[in-house]
Amino acid sequence: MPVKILLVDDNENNLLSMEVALEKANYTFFRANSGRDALRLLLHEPDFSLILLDVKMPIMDGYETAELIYQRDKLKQIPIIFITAHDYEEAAMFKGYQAGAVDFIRKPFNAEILRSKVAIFAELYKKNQLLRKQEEKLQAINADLVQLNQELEQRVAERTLALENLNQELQALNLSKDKFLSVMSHDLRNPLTALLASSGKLSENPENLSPNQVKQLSQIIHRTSNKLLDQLNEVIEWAKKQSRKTSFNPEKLRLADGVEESLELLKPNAQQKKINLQNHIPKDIEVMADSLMLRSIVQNLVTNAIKYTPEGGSVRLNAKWEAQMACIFVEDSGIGMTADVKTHLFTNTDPRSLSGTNNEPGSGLGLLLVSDFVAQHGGKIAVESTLGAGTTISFTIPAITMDK
Amino acid sequence: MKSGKILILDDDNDILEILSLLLSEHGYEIRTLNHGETTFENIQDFQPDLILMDVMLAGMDGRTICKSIKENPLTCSLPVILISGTHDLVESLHRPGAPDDFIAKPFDIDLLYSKIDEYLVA
Repeated sequence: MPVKILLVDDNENNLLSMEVALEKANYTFFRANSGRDALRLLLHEPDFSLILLDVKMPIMDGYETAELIYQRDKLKQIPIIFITAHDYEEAAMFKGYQAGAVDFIRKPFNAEILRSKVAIFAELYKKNQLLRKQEEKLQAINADLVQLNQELEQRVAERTLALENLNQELQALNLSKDKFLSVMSHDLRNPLTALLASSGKLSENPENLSPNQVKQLSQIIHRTSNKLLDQLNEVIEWAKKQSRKTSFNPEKLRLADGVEESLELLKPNAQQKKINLQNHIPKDIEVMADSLMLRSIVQNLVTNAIKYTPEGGSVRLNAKWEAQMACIFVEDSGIGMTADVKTHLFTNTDPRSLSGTNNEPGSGLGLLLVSDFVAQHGGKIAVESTLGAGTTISFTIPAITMDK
Repeated sequence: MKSGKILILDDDNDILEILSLLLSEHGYEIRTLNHGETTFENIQDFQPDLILMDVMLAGMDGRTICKSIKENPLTCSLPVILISGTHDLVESLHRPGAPDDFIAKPFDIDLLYSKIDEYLVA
């Protein structure tokens, strides 16, 4: 940025000689012939580095001009050097400094002194500019940090909320399980007790019982059997209601985020086995999926991948577009499987589950659930496996197509 | 044939009926109650030799009733057998105010007879 200097003098010759004295130093000059002129220029042209102001001018002298200049907030920072023909009288100098002068130069001026004084203020101005720029930069960085901090806080809050919701869901589920247990153990046990006692008595030695007693016992048996049937129906109704709660609710999801969320819980498992768990799913793939089912699918598949991969191996997730679908791959460097195991993987002919490389147990239900959930999305599952080299399981779910 | 009077408390009328049938056939005199609210009036009136009581009594806990029977000087020597389907009562047997014995639901008829006989013969 060039150093802009305003020269104010009512005498053209003086203006010219100041310019000549300073011209080698690469300054940009603006000239004013009166205080009024100087003010007009200052208001139109920003960023002056220095004002050289003649004291003795008609109508408005240098002191008055300086006073008017410094009334403007924007102009207060500009240093003023007074050019004076007066002798350096103490009183005059004091008046000058009060008006805002930073220095005095006597007329006729010594060119050398003028140059060096102006050079000092030009340098000062440059340094100030630099400082201001750095301050602006720091402020920008600070603003970024504040924003980043806010974003982090927001994410923590969102995460906390999600966890709290999940917790509530789980608690509700637990509560209904408790209720189920209590119904099963108490409400079913009572009629069964009556039923068993009556039928036991009847079958023990019926010849000792009076016809009336036989009638009474049979009635109890009939009544309690009906009660049991009612309760069985209630339990079935209740179970149906529970399973309806896990209905299919597809929503628009960013696949990479949904998967990353599912992986959170499994990271400790992977770390424990020193398995490198990587999510390479492209950020731009969006899907229509039930978030709970997607989580269940990913967690089941990745859990399996970790289970059948020896220590130090890797499990990689990736995805690509495939027509209207997104195809997600879970690839491990594990022990692989034989063609026979592969064919029976999703048909529950053998519910026994193979144990993992660290003898992790399994229920054999995980893959059944996965294939159910994928089917509900209208997707397909495929398995590729090489014994001893690894397995890749892929599944498809509806994608939100990019062509918009 | 045995002899003795048994007060049975259970909120399930089917259980009351079958117990009443089984035990009266075995020789005992029976009175049944399907709630716990008038237990003490019935003890005074009926003067039972033993109380057979379910833990769950519509709105009341059999263990609480048992405790008040055991803490009352007039009734503390009256044997109480608790019947329960859900509560494991073995560990509560030796606490103050505990029942004398318990029977799990569903019960075996012969075990029921032998437990009751044990308290009424003595």
